[in-house]
Amino acid sequence: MGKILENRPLARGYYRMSFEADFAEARPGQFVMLRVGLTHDPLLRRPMSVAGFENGVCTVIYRSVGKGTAILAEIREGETVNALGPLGNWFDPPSDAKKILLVGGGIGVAPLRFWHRRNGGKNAVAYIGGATKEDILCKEEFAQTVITTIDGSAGTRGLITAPLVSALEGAYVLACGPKGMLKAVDDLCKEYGATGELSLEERMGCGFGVCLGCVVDTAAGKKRLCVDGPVFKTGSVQWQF
Amino acid sequence: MAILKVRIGSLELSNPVIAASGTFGYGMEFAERLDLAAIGAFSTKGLSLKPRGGNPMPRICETPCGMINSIGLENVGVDAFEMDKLPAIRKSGAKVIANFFGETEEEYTELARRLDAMDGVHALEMNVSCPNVEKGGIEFGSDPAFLEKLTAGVKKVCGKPLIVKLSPNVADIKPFAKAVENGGGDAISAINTLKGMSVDVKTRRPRIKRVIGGLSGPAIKPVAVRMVYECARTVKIPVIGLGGIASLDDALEFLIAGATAVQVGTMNFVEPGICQRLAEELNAYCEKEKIADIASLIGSLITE
Repeated sequence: MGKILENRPLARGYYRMSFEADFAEARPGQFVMLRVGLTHDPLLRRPMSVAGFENGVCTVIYRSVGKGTAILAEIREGETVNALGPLGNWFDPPSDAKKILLVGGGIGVAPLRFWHRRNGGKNAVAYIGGATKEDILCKEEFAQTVITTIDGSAGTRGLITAPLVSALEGAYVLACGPKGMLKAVDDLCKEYGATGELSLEERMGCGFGVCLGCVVDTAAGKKRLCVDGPVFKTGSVQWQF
Repeated sequence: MAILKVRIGSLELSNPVIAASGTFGYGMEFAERLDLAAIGAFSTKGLSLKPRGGNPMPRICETPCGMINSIGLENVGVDAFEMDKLPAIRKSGAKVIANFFGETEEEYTELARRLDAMDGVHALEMNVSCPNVEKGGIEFGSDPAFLEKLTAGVKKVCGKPLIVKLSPNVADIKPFAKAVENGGGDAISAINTLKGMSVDVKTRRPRIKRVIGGLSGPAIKPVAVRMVYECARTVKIPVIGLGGIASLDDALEFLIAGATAVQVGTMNFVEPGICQRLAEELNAYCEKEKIADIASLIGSLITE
């Protein structure tokens, strides 16, 4: 159980929570499973990508989309939260990558923010997409950003994949966001000569590899997203919708 | 220390708290989350002769106080279990119940023969009640005469205690409990998941790809307690109770209703250390209540 130091709205429907972790470290790309209250409804923990970890304080960003996250949003600072983690693998770009593109959709910005905080990122450009300007999170935290929104309320109107195309050659991509975006990024990487890593999200039962509720088909067979991922190399996921 | 030891056939467990099949992997996934030797036993993910890939996604969804799953018995297969999983488990000091299922009577027998011969497997749990596969599984558990024949056939090749896990998706569970006993089974575990379904009203799609799955978690506990009570009154062999156990009181309910031991399932996902916690709480409870031997609690329901 960790004391909640911060739990406040970040943008419309989005929240940032920071809490004292009972684990020593987390790496960008890893996630935690948060328990929502101690009653049985909702029952399961909620997977949340770690958006920051400093001095024993873990930060997550979440969107209030359902019963569980709505309850989470009501928890006050000073109360406690039960987090299981850190879980899963992490972003691990080669040290000699010359050009790193951080591609995030909506809440998918969370692990990219964490990576950027850890690795500086003078050679990293963040491509952030969302439905509206309210869905563009943390843009001020990146050194260089390219923004797109579907309604044109921020940045260029359209999908983030449009401006990405011209930057892809020879780049190393770290991406996190909706499945449709990740598949599009995966396809574009192949087409334009980029490689990289994609962080997938999925509904999870346990988060540590035993319920088999979050499997993903890959070139190397069926994998559990929670322990074999959530980060997978580009070109390895066999996308299914 | 109160005496928490219970017997399942020839197998003695240090306490009656067992981790349920399908919620505990192959055991070692929990090695850093609890002391495997401190729980009564654990039941492995259901094993088949050949590895199985399981069902398409989405496989799980949350429901009030529970969840529905349709994993489809994905597992590494009995060979990989023996080669890759069992050596480490053996060193952990855990009591291992190997859960298994076949598509034919021959497969059930062959698996039982293999598992019976494995050092480090202490008991077998035969799954005749999975709601999530086309063939085998539940078919074998829906006809008492056939269940008795299957149990007898498997017991012929199985010297270790044979537990048969029953389905709640029948009109009356008692004839099935009797069939296991008549077939020579050493114990019954009940209940497997209840068939359930959930719909996303926005998309009008089922929230599980295969539409119907198995409901588990605290939501099913009263049904499970009732069925365990019915089984325990029907047979003399031990009944292992499971279905929605999330607390000491839940475990006590099953024991008082007649269960010799309990299994914890879905809550392992939420609180991976729960089996050890419940075993410790059970001991503290018995000491506080001056229950010298857990045996005096089992089936102690007062109805008049």
